Amino acid sequence: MSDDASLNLFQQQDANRRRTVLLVIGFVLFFAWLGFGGDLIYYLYSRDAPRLAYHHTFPWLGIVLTVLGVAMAWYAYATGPEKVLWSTGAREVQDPTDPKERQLVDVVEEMAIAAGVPRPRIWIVDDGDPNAFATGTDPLHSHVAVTQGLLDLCTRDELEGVIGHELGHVKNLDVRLMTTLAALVGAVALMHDGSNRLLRGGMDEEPRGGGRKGGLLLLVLLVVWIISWLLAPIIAQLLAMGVSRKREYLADAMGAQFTRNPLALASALQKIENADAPTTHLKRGAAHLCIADPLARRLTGHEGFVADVLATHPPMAKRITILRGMAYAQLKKEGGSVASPGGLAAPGAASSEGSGM
Amino acid sequence: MVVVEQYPQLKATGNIGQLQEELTSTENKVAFARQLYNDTATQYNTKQQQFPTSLVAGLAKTQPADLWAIEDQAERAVPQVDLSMKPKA
Repeated sequence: MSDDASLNLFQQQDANRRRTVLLVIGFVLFFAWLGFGGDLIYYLYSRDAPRLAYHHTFPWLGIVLTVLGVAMAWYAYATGPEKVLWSTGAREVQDPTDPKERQLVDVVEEMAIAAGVPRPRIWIVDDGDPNAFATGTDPLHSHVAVTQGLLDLCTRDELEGVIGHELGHVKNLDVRLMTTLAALVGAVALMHDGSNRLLRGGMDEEPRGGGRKGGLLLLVLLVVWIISWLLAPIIAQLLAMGVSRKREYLADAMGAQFTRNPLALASALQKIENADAPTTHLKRGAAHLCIADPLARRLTGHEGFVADVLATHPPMAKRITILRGMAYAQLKKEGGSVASPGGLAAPGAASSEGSGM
Repeated sequence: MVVVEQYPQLKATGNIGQLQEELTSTENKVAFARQLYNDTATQYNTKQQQFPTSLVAGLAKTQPADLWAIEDQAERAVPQVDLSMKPKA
């Protein structure tokens, strides 16, 4: 699976564009359901009310919530990268004076050339724990951020591997999907906090509703409706997790392809793994953007059903093993064709079998 | 007095490191640009031979792209800079 990463790039980009659109549509539909569902319940509830009492006939709640959903989705898509960077407290590197920062800028420029994308803007998060993430909507508007800890800990080659991994995310448009998702997860969480108060207030009046014709339908609707309010943040979280795990392997493969040095990325991952402290500046909402789980959850170390459902990142040991396997294959290839000049594309050439459809 | 005398030397070390970093980076940029070209060319050549796209390639009479190879291994190494300022023998 690592090898067909490069040649299926266009499919990968298409899939990411499509998924972003689906995500946004799903988000808006969810809001519409919350609104119009609420209207329907209120309509059924007030239908049997006395003549002069309020009858809920016009679905203003649905319309308001749908418009709100569209506005939030647009806002999230348009300002997602800034919001993510802002939430981590990153500062942009513009005119580096420190040799380490100079090196970072050089490495990013090199990797941008290797990946064939414009140079992303570079940010540093002042956090001692090594980690890195990429965000943006497309390769023209992309950002790469690393923590101070990563700069201090990694050698030049390792840094190159990590940046290659992040530019892999940029190139196949993972950043668009994951940033939009991060912004929407944040929006849902915010909305949920607000709505909880609203729901609790509404609960007191609820028992009077049942009893007559349509009472069962009303009850079922109400239960489903409340459950979807309660589940919204959980579903959003699960989505964020499911979306990110496979991508990490893919971005590892692309990073290895850009640097032609899978071992450097493997040792960088090892260092990141060993420095186990949680990255305090990277909050839960942005976890799926990072190269390694910033929360340092124990779960990430395991495979299996629970981890599959709950972890945002694949087990580090497995990623390192895969990268070492690539290095071994590369070594064997070079041993086989000693005279091959120019450092020709070993992974690129090998991947041609993958897309022969 | 001692500190004053040590300072210029430390600064010079930093400058040399900076120069070294710049040389490495420039050399890497050239190498990565070549690698990207070769990857893309390889991909193009492979597509010409693969089934569905090979039909179009045959009609258009496309030629495989040349890869950019380096014959001289010394061209690939980071250039060595001698800063010892010893007079040449």
